Amino acid sequence: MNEILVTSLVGYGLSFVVFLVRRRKAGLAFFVAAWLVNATAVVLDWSLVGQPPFANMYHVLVFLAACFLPIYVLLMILRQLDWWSPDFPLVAAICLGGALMLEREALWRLPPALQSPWFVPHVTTYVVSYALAGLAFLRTMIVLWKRWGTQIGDTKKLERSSYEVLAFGFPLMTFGLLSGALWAEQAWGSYWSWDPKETWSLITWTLYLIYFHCRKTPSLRPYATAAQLLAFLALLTTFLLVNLLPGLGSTLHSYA
Amino acid sequence: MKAAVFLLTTLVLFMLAGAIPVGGGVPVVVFETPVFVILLAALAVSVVVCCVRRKFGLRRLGFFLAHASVVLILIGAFVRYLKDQVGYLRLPVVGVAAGRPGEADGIGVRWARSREGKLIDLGFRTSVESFEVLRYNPDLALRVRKAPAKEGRRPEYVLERKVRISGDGLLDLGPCGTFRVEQLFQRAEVKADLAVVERTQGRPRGAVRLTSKTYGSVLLVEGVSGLEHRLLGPDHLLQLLPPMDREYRVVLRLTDPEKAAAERVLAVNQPITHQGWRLYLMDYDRREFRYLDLLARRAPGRKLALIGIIGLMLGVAMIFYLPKGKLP
Repeated sequence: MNEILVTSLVGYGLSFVVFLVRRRKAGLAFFVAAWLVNATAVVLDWSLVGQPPFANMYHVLVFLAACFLPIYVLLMILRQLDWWSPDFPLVAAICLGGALMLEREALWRLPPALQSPWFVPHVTTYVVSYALAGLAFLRTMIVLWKRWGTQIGDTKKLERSSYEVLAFGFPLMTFGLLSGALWAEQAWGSYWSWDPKETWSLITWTLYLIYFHCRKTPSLRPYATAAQLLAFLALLTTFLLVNLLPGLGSTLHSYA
Repeated sequence: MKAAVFLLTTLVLFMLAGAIPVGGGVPVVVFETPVFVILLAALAVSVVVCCVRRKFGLRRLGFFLAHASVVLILIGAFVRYLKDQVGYLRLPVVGVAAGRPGEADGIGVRWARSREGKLIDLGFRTSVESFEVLRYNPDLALRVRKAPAKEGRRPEYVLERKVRISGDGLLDLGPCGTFRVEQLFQRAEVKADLAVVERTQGRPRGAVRLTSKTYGSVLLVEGVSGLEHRLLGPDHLLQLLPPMDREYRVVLRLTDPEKAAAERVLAVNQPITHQGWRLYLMDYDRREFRYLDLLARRAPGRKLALIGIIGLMLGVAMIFYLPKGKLP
C-alpha cells in the first residue's frame, strides 16, 4: 500500500509543479494519473475492510486526498473558477503525506453504533467540506502573503475564489453537523451531548458562519479573514487534535 | 447583522470555555448555566428581529427557512432544557429479582432511575423476551519473536500484522504458509461470513436458556481470555483475537396496565417509542449476559428540533446553491 500512496503523492507533486509553470494540460494529466492511483488505494482499503474506508485517520486522509479532483471538476463546471489549479494537487499531496506518516490499521470491523444509514453521508460530507475549507485557507494565506508583499493587484480575485470555495463547502459542513445530530438522537437519545468533538465542530461551524456574516456587512468585512483563519484552526482541532490530544479526548467519538 | 456577529462571537467564547480541558476534563457544565441559556435566547430574539426586518419573498426563501429553523432548534432545545425526562433501566436477562422499584418484579421493570437517582414511573412494564448478539468472526494476530529469550524467561512476541479469515476459511500467513483455520484451532469451526451468535431466550419467570451455544461460544470464550494461540515454527505465534460485536438486539415485552402485552424489537440505532417514551438500547453485560442497559427519554422538544434541523439543512443549501435570481 505504501508504494501506491507514494506513487500518487509524487504524481500530485509533479502536477503541482507543472501547473505552477503554467503547463495546464500536462498538469491536469499528472493530476488525473495521481488521482487514479489514489482512487485505487481507496478501493483497496474498501475491499480490505469490507466497509466504506472511514475507520481511522489514515483511511480518512487517503479518501480526503481523492476528493480534490472531483471537487476541481465540479467547481470548474458549476462556478467557472479555473484559475486556482495548482492548489488542488498540493493539498491532495499534503493529505497523502499525512496518511503516510500514520500507523495503519488495515483490518477493521464496523461496530454496532456506526451501523447506521447516516454513517456514509455524515462522514463523506464532512470530509469534502474539510477539503474545501483547506483549499480556501490556502487561498487566503496566499492573499495575506501577497498583501504583505504589497502585491494588492490580484488579491481580490484570490479572495473571491476563497469565498466561492467556502460557499460551496459550507452547506456540506452544515449537513455533516446536523446529520450527526440526527444520528446521535437515534443512537444515544440526544441530538447534542456537548462531547468535545461535537463542541469543537459547532465552534468551527459558528466561526464560518461569522465569516459569512462579516463578508455581508461592509463595516465588518475586514474581520472576515480573521474569522476564516480562526475557523480553520478550530477545524484542525476538530479533525485532528480532539483525537490526538488526550486532554481533549472524545468519549462518544472515540472511533472518529 | 452586527448584533448577530457579536452574539455568535460570544457564543464561540462560551463554547471554548466548555471545550478546553481543565483539571483533566472538559467543563461541559458551562452549557447548563443560566448565562448560556440567556445567550441562546438572545440569539433567537436577534434572529427573529433579523427576519422581521427583511421583506419576505420567494427569492429569500432559503434565508427565511434557515433563520426560522435556527429559532425552532433553539425553542426545541429550550423545551428540552425545561421538560426533559431521562431514566436509566437495567433489565435483567437472567433470573428475576424481587418486586422492589427500579428492579424486576416478576412482570418487568416499571421504574427507571434518573441521573440523580430519583425513581421515574414509566407507566408500563418492560421485560426481556429474547436477546441476541451477533459477532464478527474473530481476526487473528500474527506475532513474531522479538529477540532470543533469556534463560528462564518466556519469549516476547510483537505484532507483525492482523490476519482475517478469508471467505473460504483460509488463513494466509505469508512466510509461514496458508492454513485452514481448523488445522490450527481444531475446536474452531469457522464458516465464511457467518457471525458468531449468542442468543438468550428469557421467560417472564425463570431462568434463561442459551439456545445457540455452538462453535461461536467456543471462539468467544477462548478469544476473550487471550490464551488461545498456536506456535508456528520457532519465530511466529498466531493468536486468536476476541470477536467484535456486529449487532445486538433485544425483543422487549411491553406491558401496559389493563392491556395486552406487545413485543417490540430494540437495537442500537433503532430506538422505539412507547407511551411517549423513547427507549434506547445502550449496552449489555458483556461477561455473562445478565442484564441490558436501556435509556428512556421523554423530550417534548424533540420533534420541534427535528423539523428545525431539516429546515436548516435545506435553508443553508438554498442560500448557497440556488443561483440568485433563479429561485422559485
